[in-house]
Amino acid sequence: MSELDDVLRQSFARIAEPGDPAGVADALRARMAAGDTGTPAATSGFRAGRGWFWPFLALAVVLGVLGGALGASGAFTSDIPAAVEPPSVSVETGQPTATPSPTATPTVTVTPTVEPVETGQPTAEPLPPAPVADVSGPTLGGASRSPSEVFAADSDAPYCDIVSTISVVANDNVAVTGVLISWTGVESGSGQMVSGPSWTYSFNPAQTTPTGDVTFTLIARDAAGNTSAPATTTVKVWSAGSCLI
Amino acid sequence: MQTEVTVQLDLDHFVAHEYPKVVAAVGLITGDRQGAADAVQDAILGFISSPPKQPVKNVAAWITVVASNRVRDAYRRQGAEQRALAKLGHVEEGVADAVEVLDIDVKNALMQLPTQQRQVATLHYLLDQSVETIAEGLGVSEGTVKTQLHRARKALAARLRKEDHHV
Repeated sequence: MSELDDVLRQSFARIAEPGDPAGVADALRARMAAGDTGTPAATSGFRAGRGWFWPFLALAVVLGVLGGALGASGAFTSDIPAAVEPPSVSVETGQPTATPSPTATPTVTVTPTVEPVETGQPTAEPLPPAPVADVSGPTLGGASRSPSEVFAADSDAPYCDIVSTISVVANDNVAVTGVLISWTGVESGSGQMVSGPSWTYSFNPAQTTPTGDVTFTLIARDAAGNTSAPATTTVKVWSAGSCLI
Repeated sequence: MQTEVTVQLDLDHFVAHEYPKVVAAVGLITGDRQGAADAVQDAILGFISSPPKQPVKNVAAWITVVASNRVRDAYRRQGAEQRALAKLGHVEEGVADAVEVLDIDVKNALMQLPTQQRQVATLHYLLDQSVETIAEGLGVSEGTVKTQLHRARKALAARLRKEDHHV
C-alpha cells in the first residue's frame, strides 16, 4: 500500500462525519412496528444489474421504448431505473394427462434381391479416391480483448491491470493448427495464441512501454497452409508511471 | 432454480458498530449529511423487511450503496445535487493547520469527482472495502472498479500535489 493510500485513508477518516447511533435502533423498531418497510432491496440497485437488467432491456425492446432507456443504462447499477421488477416465470406443476395415440398398422415391403454371379474373371482393386486439396482457409471471428486498457507496471501494482487477454474464435473445414498474433504501436512483437474454446494470448506490456495504443493482428492457419483473413483488436497501454499504486 | 438466501441483520449490533461509519460514507458520497442519516435508516428498514435474495458479503457496503443511490435519486428529481455538493465543498478561510488544509483539499477534490468514482473511493478508503467486494456489490467487473479507483486516486493525488502537500 502506498503512502498516498495511507494519506487518503487517514484523510477520509477525518473528513467523514459519523452518524450518531443513539436512539436509532429504537426509532427503527418503532417504524417497523408501524409497518414502515423503508427502501426495499429490489430498488437498491445493489447487485441488481446481473439479475434483471437483460430482461428489462428485452422488455424495453419489445415495447419499442429503447430511445431514452439505453442512455440511462450505465455500467453502474445505480444508474438503472429502480422500479422495474424482473418478469416472473410460472411453472406448471400439474400431472400430465395421457392421450391415447392412434394404432399404427404395420406394412411389409418385400424388395427382391439379386445374388451376384461368379464369372471367374479377376476383379481389379478399386483405386482409392484421389485426394482433394484443402484450399479452404480458416475463418476468424469475435476478436476481443479484456481489459481494453492495461498498465505497463510491474506486478506490485494490485489495483492496475497489467495483463490483457486477447481472444478470438477460429474455425476451419478441417482443423485450425495455429493462430499467429503480432502487434505494433507503442510496443511491437509476435507470438502464438493458445488453443481452447477460443484462442487466447496474454499480453503483458513491457514496463518501459510508453502510453499509447497497441494494435494486434491475428491470423489463423490450417494443416494445408491456408491462412485466414486477419482480425484486429486494439489495447490502450498506460505507461508505468500512470499506475499510482 | 434460484435459491433464496435470507440474510439476517442484528439491528443493535449494526447500529452500534456500523451505522456511524455508513452514515459518514453516504454523507461523503452524496454531500448531504442529514439526508445520509435518513437514507441509511430507510435502507436498514428495507434490508430487514425484504432482505436481498443474494448472499451479501458486507452489509455495511450494501447499506451504503442503497442509501447513497436513494439520496442521489432524490437529488436528481430535485435537481439540487450540485448545489448541495458545492455547499459541502465550500472551503473555510483562515485555517492554519496543515492537516486541516489537506483534509479540505481532499474533500474538495472528492466532491469534484464523478459520482461513481466518489462512491468507489469512499467504499475503499473509508469502509476499507476491497476491489473484489466493491465489484461484486456494484455488479460490475473488477476492472471497472480498478479503473474508477485509479481515476479517483489520480484526481485526488493531482489536487494534493497542486496544493504542494507531501504525498
